Amino acid sequence: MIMNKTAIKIIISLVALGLMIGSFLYIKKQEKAKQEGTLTVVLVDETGTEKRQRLTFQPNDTLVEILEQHFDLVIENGKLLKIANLETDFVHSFIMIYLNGSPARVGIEQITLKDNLEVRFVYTKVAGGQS
Amino acid sequence: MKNKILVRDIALIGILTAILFVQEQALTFLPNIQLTVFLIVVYSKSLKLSHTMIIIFIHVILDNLLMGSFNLVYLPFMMIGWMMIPLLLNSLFKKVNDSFPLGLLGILFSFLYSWIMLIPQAFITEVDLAAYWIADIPFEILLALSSFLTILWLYQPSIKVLQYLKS
Repeated sequence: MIMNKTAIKIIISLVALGLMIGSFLYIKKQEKAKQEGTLTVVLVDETGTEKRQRLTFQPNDTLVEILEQHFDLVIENGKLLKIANLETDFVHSFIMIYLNGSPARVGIEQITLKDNLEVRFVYTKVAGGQS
Repeated sequence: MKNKILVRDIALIGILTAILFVQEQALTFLPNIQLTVFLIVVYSKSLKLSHTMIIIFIHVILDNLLMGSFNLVYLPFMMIGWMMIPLLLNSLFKKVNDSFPLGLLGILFSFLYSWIMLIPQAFITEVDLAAYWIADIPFEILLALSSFLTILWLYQPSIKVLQYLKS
């Protein structure tokens, strides 16, 4: 009986795991742009100085791929540590990402490219407020 | 005397809040896979309702401070979404203590939380709520299944550890 219970638990877990992997792969596929378009990248440094750049993308491009083509980019475990002149240790500061003015609720690798998207990277000090 | 909060309780609340907050930040690189629902279920079943509510309150404030510079649109919805778990587990589902039904409840809580959070997301991004919900379904499935699996396998050993810490 105990063996049966454990076996059922394992089978249910494997099914759940399969569904999770399926959903994960589907999300990864969705991250790719469906059509060509343009995006605006805004970099805001420690002093609050803004630099804007307009970039174009093609179908199946991802945001990270586009950024890597134009900026010096460092991402570790999904965390953005460096983009162009914005560099953070993720301890005393981090790079806040805004999408069309709203804080991004997903990591940089999960952001989907859409036409006319504005991605704003703001150097933000921990406990010290925005730049 | 009965309602007094002991130094040990304060220390435990601090440690458990830190675990809740750190795991969520550490897992941000995975889309919607987190241990938050599992941990809140464990806390709800082993701590006093008021203690779990304090943990969630601090966690939500910290999360908003870090992720959205204290975004007042997200905050109340996030608070309701997470607070609903201890409230339901201490009322409607008080008698549910086995890991399998609790895992199923984890699925329910994950979907309810995701649907509550659709409201501020749709409000801020000004997208159609139905379109946003459809796009959100794979993320909801990931949260629900990660909650189900963690509760199914880790609930019983975690409860034992917490009960040992409390004794």
